Amino acid sequence: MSNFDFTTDVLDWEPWVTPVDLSTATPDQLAVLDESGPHARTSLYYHLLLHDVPALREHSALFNAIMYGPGGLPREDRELGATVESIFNSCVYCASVHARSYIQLAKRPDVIDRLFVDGVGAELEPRLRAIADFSARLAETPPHAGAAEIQALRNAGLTDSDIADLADAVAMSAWENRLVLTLGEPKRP
Amino acid sequence: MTRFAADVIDSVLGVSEGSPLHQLRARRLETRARTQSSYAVLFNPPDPGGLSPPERFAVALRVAELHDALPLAAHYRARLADEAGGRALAAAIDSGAPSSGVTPRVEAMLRHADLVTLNPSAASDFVVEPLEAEGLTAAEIVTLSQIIAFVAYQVRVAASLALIAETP
Repeated sequence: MSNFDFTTDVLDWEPWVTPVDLSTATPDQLAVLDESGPHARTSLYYHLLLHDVPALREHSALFNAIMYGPGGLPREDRELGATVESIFNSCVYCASVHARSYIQLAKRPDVIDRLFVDGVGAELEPRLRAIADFSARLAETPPHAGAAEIQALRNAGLTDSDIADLADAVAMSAWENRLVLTLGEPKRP
Repeated sequence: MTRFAADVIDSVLGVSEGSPLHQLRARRLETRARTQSSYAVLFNPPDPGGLSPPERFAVALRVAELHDALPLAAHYRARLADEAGGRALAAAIDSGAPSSGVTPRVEAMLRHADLVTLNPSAASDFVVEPLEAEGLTAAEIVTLSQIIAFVAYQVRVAASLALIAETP
């Protein structure tokens, strides 16, 4: 359980289960780390997930396709959906990562400030509100996004293809949150 | 194995070639393919070992049920029923209480699935102790976690596609 508030600071993460020792890692394990992202070699989160190489390989490829794939819904909107989903689940570590990406892409630290202080229901302009509403309702277990949230996104100008991109980002965040929250905890560097 | 090749999300949603949902999914072929290959490596791993096939499908069935994801639950229930002892295990999971009619090892996995699915932020460092007490290795705990979290993803992708298609 997180012992600090939402932040855009860079956090560390410590596993509760013994990760793979990189000094004994196979070439395939090291290759998967490099496929996963630029920080994976130095992240204990990825060292832990290396226990199941095929699962990590597919997970990382899918994560990268959903969050960074070209075209479609602007990347900043995918990051906003992932941030809202992470706030809903109280995943401080995940929220910090996605919020930093959102600010970098959208240049809107004010949006993150409001979401961190007031929660997923924070006051936002209509397009961002529609994205946040859909993301928060889809984050629920069972998910409760419905026709009203779809209609609001369409009214805000999103195509069905954009909405599916947003849903993928939120769903991926539901996956990521559960690993990050239940296999270890965030730490201040 | 062909039973792991057919796209599960298309199958549970009844997506046919050329339909609007088929076209929507075709916008992101890598996402579609990697969603299916994630399923394949978690439920039909290239290196058998670790969690048994019935354990994998039992956990997925539980997670789908907790999401009220009926078509996906039906999929995992059918896959579980194909495994040795799977029908009894499916019946035990369908009855709701993880402790009745299952081994202590499976019970620990199902209880973990409940926590990770419903209240992941309540986890703390002792959450893995019941799993370790039942002999799960670090690698098995990682695989278990990936299965639980993958189904949380899969449920949301399927639900969103259905919702987009149903909303006029």
